[in-house]
Amino acid sequence: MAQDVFVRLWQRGLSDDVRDVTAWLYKSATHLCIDRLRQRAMHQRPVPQATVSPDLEATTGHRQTLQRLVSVADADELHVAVLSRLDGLTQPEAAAVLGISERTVRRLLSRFDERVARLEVKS
Amino acid sequence: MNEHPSFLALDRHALGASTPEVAAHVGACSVCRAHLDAVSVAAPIPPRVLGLRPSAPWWKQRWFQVLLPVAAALVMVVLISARPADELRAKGPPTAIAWVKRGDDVSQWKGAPLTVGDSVRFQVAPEGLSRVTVIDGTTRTVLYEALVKETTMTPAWTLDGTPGGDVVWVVLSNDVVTPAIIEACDGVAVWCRRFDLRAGSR
Repeated sequence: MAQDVFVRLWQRGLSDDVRDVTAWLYKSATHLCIDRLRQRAMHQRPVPQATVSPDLEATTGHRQTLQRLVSVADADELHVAVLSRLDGLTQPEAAAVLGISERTVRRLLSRFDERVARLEVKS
Repeated sequence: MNEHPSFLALDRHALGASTPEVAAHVGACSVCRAHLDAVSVAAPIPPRVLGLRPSAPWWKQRWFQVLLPVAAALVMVVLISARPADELRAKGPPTAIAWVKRGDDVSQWKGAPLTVGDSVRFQVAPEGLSRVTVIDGTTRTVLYEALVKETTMTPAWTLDGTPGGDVVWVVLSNDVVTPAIIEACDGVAVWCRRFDLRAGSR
């Protein structure tokens, strides 16, 4: 995945602006990871519970939740959620990286949280 | 700053594009300093990579230097070989066109002279043929060959101003061809298009 991202960066051309390069890296890496997760979600079966040891139960649960989210959540929501919740970007940072407004970031995060809540209720 | 900066902010700090707030936080936060220490250490190179033989960059390789001079003339010929013409006509003749990238703009080559920095690649439609071969007409070397089933793009080459060969042949065929094929190409009945980049016409 990292190789793919840096090949794309090389093809795109390096900018002298570190902020520009880092923003592009975060955006592209997130995009690629979500695409890859979606492909896996389409072709892979869920991890069988019977094979999961107690120590891995929580990890497996998170993974299955993530697989379900990737399958049902909007791509824009996932982009914002990954940048905000996993990478720890502030809302202004996420907005700048994705080229959208902070208001849109808040709206997408809200929709994502609602989706997670519905999934948790179902499970 | 009470909370930790984001990974983006820390990465920018590590690359010298920090802000006073992030710098102040890092100065007082051992967790963030540990993260910065970790990212500042280059990952070890896997042994299998160390064992690989280094190769010259593509722009320093002979084929590239020979291929693409400033104001080169390029002749692109699509050779129909080894298959009856009637069979080829069932789907129309093979075609080959050149695409030029200048800066961020990509456009089909219309005959304008190329300049240093321009990149060119060829789009071929085999239409019943199965192999594309790109030959340096000056050095008589094969630059690229591949099996093709449908419309395909070749790799791109960039004009770097190095003097050298100025003719490229794009050959479509069924059989493997050698550079010698271009010796006979002019004398046989082939479908071809000529692109003369030096004169800026075609």
